Amino acid sequence: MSKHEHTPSFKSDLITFGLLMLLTAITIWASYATGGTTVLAVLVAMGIATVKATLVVRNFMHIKYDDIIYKLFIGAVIIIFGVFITLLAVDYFYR
Amino acid sequence: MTDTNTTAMEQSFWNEKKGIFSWIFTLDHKRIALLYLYAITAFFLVGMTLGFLMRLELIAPGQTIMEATTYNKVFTFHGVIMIFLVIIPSIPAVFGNFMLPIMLGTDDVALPRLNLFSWWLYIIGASMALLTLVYGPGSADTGWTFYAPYSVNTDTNVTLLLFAAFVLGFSSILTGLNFIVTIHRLRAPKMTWFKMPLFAWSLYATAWIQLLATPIVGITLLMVIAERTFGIGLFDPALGGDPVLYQHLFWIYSHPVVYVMILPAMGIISEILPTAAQRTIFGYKAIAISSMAIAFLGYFVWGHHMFTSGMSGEARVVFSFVTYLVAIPTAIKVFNWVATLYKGSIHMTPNLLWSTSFIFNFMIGGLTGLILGALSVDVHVHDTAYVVAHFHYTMFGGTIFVFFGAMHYWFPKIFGRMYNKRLSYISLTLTFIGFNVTYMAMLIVGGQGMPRRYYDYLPEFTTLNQISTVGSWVLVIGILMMIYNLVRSAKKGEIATANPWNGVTLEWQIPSPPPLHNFVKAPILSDKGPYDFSILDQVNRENLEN
Ligand code: HEM
Ligand SMILES: [Cu+2]
Repeated sequence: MSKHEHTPSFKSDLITFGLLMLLTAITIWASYATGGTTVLAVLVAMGIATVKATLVVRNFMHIKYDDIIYKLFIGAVIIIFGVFITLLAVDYFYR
Repeated sequence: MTDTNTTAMEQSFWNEKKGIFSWIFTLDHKRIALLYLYAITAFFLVGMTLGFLMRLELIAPGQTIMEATTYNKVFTFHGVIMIFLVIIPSIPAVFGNFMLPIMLGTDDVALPRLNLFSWWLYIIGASMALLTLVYGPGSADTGWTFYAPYSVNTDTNVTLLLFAAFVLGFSSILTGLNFIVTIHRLRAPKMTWFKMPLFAWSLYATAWIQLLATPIVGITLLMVIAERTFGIGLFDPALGGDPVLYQHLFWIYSHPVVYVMILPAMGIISEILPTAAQRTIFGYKAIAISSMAIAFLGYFVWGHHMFTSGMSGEARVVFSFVTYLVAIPTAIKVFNWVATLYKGSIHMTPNLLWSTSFIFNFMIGGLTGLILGALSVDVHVHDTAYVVAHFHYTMFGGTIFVFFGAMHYWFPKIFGRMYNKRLSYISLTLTFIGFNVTYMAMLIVGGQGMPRRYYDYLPEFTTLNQISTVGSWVLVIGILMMIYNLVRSAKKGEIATANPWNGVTLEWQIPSPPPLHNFVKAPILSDKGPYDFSILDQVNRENLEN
């Protein structure tokens, strides 16, 4: 139980928030820099969104402070979801 | 002896409270398990009758006892009942609910109210499914797979049946969630992960599949409902949809769910065999981890149901290849079971014989599965009776046989009485022979090209179909005899002791039937894991003192 007493400070939450805002700004800037509708634009936007989602899950949802087993399962779920998308792509892009 | 055991009955959960409301609103995991048992048995009998009628129709070419459209409705309802109302809940909801808390050394599941809610969802979903039979345009004729675009266009009662499956899905999700929390939070103090019984491991792997995969089919079914009611073009090409997408979404769930059906059965085999052989299981960790590996790899292979759907050639090759990966952890289990029996001091019991029958049937089911996984072969036998025989060998000869075996293993614990063993051997023999005759004939006639979901066939398939139909009669007689034996013995059987098979897992350390809160004193846990038979004498001595 002791590990759950370790809650994040207001300051670290604020830093996370600042990072998220910064990344949002970068997303907007990047959409202009990459032309908005190109493949590159999608890849960059998705890449930044992934970083942001990771920050939220780690810091705001407290996964950082949890047992290794929860991290393992979240990792497994993300891998499974990735597999869904990859295998579907193998069908749709080669049909 | 008898005295202590009649008091065990008086002090058990059976006698704690009386009346119908003390059952249908109970929070006791044992009573909820029994509610599931009675409901599932009833639906199994309905499903069995439909299967019996289909086989009767197929006794001769041409129309015999029903019209083509009736046959379509019958195989649809047979499939829906057997999949959603029988086999998916079967082992987890009955034996998982009853045994998991006891085997972990606790007094209930983590969330008893949610557990009761799951049962009510099951009953509501089942009632909705039954309702499709009696009102409006008639029951669904799509097959249990609800393939679009036909499921979008047929004017039978598909919408309500889809919604029933959706509700049943939630029941399954909540049971899984409950087991995950129970296993994480409520294990006995000294029981570490690798000291859990293997049945608990298998339920754990199963629960993750229920939790993660079921929402996918839930959404998919809702999408079909949306397409039927609002004309949103999702799957029907006429509306701009993609029918292959339906099959992808359906099988992303429905392949993993075959492991919801089989993993708990494998877990029970891993309980019965050590007790029967009076020795520790061979390869405990390999079996535990292979359950998790199967659950994980099960997500990668769904496309093997779609080799002829018009999916890209590249995808078909990839799916065929990865399908073979799942065979590895499965084979690990089979080898470990056989190794457990090797040189054990085997005591022949009905539950052991059900288990070995399972291994036999499941080998046929598994190996025909490998044949179907080969792309080049599957394009020929897809949608033939070969496939029907294959999945009956895995689901029926596999899971349902283990369900029956578990019934014979835990019956004295649950009901506090023993069944007639002679009658149980006879009914097992009939069931086993009937089963194999029915489906071996279908396997062969399917390999010769007889398509599935047809009420008629070419004259050259007559002999094998007749053999199969006669087999189904033997099968049904065997099952009815078994049910008669168990129902009669639950009331009139000889009083059973606390530990009739000399097991050492925790359920054998409490009275038969268990008291309301399961444990009256702290159970004995060996440092050497759940199947350490050196503690047997101590267990039996303590049982006598109870
Ligand atoms: C009790 C004896 C049983 C008999 C005699 C039986 C017989 C049959 C027959 C003849 C078919 C249809 C073949 C066709 O024309 O396509 C069928 C389909 C099916 N059976 Fe059974 N079966 C039995 C038990 C079971 C069990 C225990 C399960 C699962 C737990 C099961 C699951 C299914 C499924 C999913 C289908 C496919 C339905 C569809 O095509 O949509 N059956 N069965
Ligand atoms: Cu599959």
